[in-house]
Amino acid sequence: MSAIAISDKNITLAALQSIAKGSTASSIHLDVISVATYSDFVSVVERAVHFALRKLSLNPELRQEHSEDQLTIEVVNMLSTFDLDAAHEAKVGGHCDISINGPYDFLWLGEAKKHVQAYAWLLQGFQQLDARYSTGLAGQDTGGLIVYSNYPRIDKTMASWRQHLLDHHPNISCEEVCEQTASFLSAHVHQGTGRNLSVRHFACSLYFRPTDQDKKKKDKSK
Amino acid sequence: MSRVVSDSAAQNLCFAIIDFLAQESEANLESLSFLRLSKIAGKQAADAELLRALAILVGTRVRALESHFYFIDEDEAEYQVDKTAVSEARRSGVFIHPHKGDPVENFEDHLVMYFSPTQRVLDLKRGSE
Repeated sequence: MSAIAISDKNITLAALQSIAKGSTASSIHLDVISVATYSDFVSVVERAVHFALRKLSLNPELRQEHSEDQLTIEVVNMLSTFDLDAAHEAKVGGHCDISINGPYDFLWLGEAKKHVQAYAWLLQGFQQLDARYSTGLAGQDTGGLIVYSNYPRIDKTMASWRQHLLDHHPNISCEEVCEQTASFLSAHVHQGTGRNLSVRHFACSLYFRPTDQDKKKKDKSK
Repeated sequence: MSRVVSDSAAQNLCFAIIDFLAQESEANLESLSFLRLSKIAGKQAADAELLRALAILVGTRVRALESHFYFIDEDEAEYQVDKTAVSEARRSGVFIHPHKGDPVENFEDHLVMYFSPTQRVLDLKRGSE
């Protein structure tokens, strides 16, 4: 564990960043301490969500039969280990899957859906986030939609979902498509406030079909 | 605190700092450096554990401390800096000297973080006196 000897002149922001270097948790803790704007808060939340989803993807074989709620509770528990004020199904206009409170009344809301072939289910989650849960107020106008998928090629799933969203939601834009995470950002006018509501669409691959087992079965059958 | 964080090491650091906030006079709490908080927490160095404890104490669930920044220039002059200015500088990569108006190279080497108790803590202290 990196540490800086105690001398005030040394404990600059650069020194703190070097302490946090290499550790997502420490990096998030440092950013939590320094949050000044809503953009800072959203950045911390999104990094933490990406980290949690990567952790889920590490052992997909254990999560094939998990329900949406089971997966989301795991995500919320991981977000809490970063000491974010995260909750599952807190009452916000209804029971939003993930709510994260920040300083200065900042709020981030997330819906989570397990992809089951038809994209209408994902669209329902998006609409819940948009029309039922999001306030659209300043400091509360960014959220997330998490897509869990047991199917292969989540990159194609997210591309198809993006197109479905563009086809079925008036005046929405989709941008910041990330090749590494298959995530993207949508933006549209919130009907309640007239402000822009941004939603980060996160991908979580839980695909598990090991081919070595297929080979073993074939060998046994000979 | 135990409902907020289950890690006992982090709990102990947080309790040590909270005890200090409760016992010390307001005047001595205005500017808490990493040096002071490290010693209060019984640490020989500022490390990831201390970062975690401070994230808990600054975070929404506890709200015991607020963070601030000051800038030290090459002449060792110190300037209070707004957190939003630091946030913008980290985002853009450019920090402007608060007095001279010039961009500062390697500005992160010149920004120092310190802490103060939140109004919530001060109200609790005053209420208990």
